[in-house]
Amino acid sequence: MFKEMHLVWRFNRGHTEALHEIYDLHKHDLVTLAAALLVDKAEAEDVVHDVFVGFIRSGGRFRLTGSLKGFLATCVANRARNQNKSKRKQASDETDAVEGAAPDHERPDLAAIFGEELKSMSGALAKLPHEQREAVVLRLCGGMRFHAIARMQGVSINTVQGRYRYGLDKLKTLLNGDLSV
Amino acid sequence: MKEKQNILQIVRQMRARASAKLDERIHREIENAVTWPTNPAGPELSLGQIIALLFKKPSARYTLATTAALAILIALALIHPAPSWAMDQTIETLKKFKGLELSGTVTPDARTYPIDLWLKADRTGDFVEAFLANVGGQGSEWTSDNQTYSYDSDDKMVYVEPGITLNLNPWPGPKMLALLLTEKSYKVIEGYDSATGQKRVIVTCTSTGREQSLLLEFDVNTKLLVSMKVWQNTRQEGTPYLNFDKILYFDNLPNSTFNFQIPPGTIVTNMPLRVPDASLAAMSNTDSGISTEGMTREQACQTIIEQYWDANIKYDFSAFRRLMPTAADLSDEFLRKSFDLNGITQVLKVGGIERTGSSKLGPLALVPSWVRAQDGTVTEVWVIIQFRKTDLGSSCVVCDTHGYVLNAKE
Repeated sequence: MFKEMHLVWRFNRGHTEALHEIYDLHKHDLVTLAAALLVDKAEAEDVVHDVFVGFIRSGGRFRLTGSLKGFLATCVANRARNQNKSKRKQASDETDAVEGAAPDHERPDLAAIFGEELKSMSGALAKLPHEQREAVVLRLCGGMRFHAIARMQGVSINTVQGRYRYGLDKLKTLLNGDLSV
Repeated sequence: MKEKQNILQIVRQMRARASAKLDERIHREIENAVTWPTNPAGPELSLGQIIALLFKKPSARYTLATTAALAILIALALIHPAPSWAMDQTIETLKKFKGLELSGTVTPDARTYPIDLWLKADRTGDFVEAFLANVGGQGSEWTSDNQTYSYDSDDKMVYVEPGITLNLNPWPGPKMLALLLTEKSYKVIEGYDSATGQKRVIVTCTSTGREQSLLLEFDVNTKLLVSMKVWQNTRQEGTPYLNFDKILYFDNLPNSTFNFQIPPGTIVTNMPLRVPDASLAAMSNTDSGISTEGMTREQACQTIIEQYWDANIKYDFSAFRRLMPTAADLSDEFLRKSFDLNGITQVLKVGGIERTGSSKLGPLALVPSWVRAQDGTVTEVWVIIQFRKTDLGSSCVVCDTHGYVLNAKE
């Protein structure tokens, strides 16, 4: 936190090196988070890019009210959410096109994103309903608190905790059930 | 059988790496970003900011001695003498104290953090010899063996720098208050503490040049400062940026006060050598610095640092500004006060390059030097040298000083 305060202070005063440092400090975490939410590395990087462009534009007036990592993670999660929503909408609008598309959990690039050994887990995550996946990923990869996730999803904290629990149970079942993950 | 605990661990282990392409895209966006108009970057920090964030710009500014915040005090001190009985007595009282503990809060942004700061003055009472600071239980900075350490509890990292780099000189004691005494907007209000009934003196002053205002509360009986507030506006509006509501004085503080136990598993690493972007424009001035044609970097550092101290000793302000272009805007009066405070009379030795780094202008070098003061004491002062290539060839300038060790061995 101390370091973040320091970086934000410098960032607000135009020290671009602070921005480089902020990016280098959090880039892997943010890409991980976005990739786990979107199950697409290229889209994940686009989301992180857009978040940083927005962050750069806030220079001089950015006010840190919590942790910087938490703030950036929330931005990434929000953008990933919008991206997923528009994908789902597009899918329902263009039924023909979607019929030929692979569902998330069948995406061949999962191993490429997270490495071979985590392929099973990433595959299992991709099979979760979107809200459950989001709750699990934001909590475990993003380090976000339940109340923050609840605020973001626009539901009660109990609902988020339920989604998280169901998500974990389903992951357990998927990984133990030798399903094709 | 995968247990839930295992699943938690595996999900946490999931790691996707940002690609080189993304790195390139974002670093380019940053470089192309238009500089935001508010609070332009600058090498200076205000006193409140320095204490509060314990932010170390690449300068302990030992040479310039006073902090940027104090610069306002000095500058105004020159034009408006306004003695006050309370402050005079306080200054006298403070002379015997060489240890301070300040506790309170800092509000750098919308959020407020608790801060505790322990300071120890050197024997002259002019410079900080050791310090320990805890900010919100999140991070700490301290000195040990003449090095400055910064601990980040989130990252479990400790960054190390040579020398004492807390930019808080002169020591917040008699000398600082003497400067405050002559502050142009200095006002004294007498009153009583409603809680204790004790007589209090409130001193307020404003720095219009720096968008900063202060409120200092003194106990009339003990003559001591009992609270201090610093606002980042001239109207004392809103939550003070810095609010020390507990100030304890000690004749001295044992060295153990400044011990900090680094938690196990913490990575200790050198603080990267950097300079503020805001200094680059000044340092790219081709009229400044010295040519390094035909010299090794070591030789160039040796030459420019010797000239730098020579300018300091001879009070040659124009040479000083030429060698250190980041000081180009400082007035003769300010430099004179700073040089007076340092009282450097002799440069004893310039060491070799100890650390390197780079800026957009070119390579950076951190070089120690040893200087003797009027009172015979020797101080080791690190100096940052910026190398650059211009149309006129290779050259270097002094960026700033960065950390010092008092009573160093020759």
